[in-house]
Amino acid sequence: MRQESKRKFSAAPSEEFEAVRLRYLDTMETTIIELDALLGAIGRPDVQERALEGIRFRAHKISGTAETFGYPRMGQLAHQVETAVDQRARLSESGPTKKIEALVEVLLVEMEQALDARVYAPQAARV
Amino acid sequence: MKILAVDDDETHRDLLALSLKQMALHDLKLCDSGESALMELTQEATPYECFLLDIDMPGMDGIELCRRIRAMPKYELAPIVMLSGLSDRVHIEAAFDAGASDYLTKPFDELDLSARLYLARKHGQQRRQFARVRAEIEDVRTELGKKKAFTLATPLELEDVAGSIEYLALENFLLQTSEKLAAVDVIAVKIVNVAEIFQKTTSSEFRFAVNSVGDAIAETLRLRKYFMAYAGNGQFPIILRDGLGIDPETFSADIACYAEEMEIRTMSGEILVPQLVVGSGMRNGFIPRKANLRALTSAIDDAEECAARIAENQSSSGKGKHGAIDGLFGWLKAS
Repeated sequence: MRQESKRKFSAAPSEEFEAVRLRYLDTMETTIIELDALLGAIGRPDVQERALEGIRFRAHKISGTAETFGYPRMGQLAHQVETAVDQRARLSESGPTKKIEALVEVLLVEMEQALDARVYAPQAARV
Repeated sequence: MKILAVDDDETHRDLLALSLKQMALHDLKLCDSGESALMELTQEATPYECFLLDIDMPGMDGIELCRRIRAMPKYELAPIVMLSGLSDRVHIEAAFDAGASDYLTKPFDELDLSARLYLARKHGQQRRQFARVRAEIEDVRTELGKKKAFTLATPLELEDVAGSIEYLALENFLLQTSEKLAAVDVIAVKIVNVAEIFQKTTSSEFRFAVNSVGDAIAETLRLRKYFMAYAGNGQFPIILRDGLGIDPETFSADIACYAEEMEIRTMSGEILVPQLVVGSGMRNGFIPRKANLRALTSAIDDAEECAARIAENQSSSGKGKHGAIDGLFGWLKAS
């Protein structure tokens, strides 16, 4: 069962909110492609740090918006990715990336499911 | 209210536009980077009244942008609300250090945003009004003698005092500090004889006195990480944010070294020495989220009680005048 969003975005007229939500889902397609490419680049030592920073930046943006559009789990997963990248940077830049890679995989699945269901998209964030 | 919102994320800009459109009272301009915002500020016909800034942006981040906006004389008093997904303590502290008035975390709640903007608007109006009145009063200060543009209870901004922020910003900082973060110490210093100083000084002399005490506190805490403010009524609440704890007795003794030579010479030639007292405050504590403002008020109340006991002791012992050190060691007697 989908979690009820704690955040409220209620006052906007439904058509306008819907238009923003659809644009958001459009950009999500691009974000999925970018995250996928960055995930693949983690294994290359010469670009690993840039790839991780790119993943952190995108995860940060997702964690700030997903819940508003009715995707709280996606927001939480993105926050976990962001935190994992930050933790690795704090501890050791040459540290393992397996946990980050696994979290990004789960996040990508969640994003793809949201896109697959876009016709029946939830409006949990709206009351 | 004319607002400039800066966010590199198109979705956030869309959501902000929708939210503020519903509030109807706001005239919103959106920029997608710190650089384009600064460009906009050099071109605008009428000044903005409020800023909403994202932090994590490519190029110039929101904290640097906040610092640059705050450095512009016309935006010295403008409310700057940081609207960011970064909820860690480092970024919150950096934002308030750069001059932010408030901090909201994404995803934002529309009602919360509305309330914060309402407060920002009221606060901005009050500050502008206060600045106007202050300027007028200062202009005719000599004719008006000791008349002031503020009351004894008015929180004042400390000028060029290290670690000082506005009192409202200090409250907002505590509101953003939750129990999951590192421990903080909340303590307050009080000028025991503030009423006498206020009564006998002009606006600028009183400000000088308040800033001198602020400097003494800053010098004492120069190796620590802290925020402080002047909350009015001679009170300087301080939040030590390095988790190292503080011993009020040692702090009292340390501040005494810097306060020894502190004296205010009034226009009438009288010399006044601020008597300081340090309350025990709340030390090395993890503040529950709902109680963080209570920690601030209880630190202030605590210093107030210490000051009252000292004043009572002085009155019963027949001593009317005490120097800074006498007042400082009053903490020992009071506790």
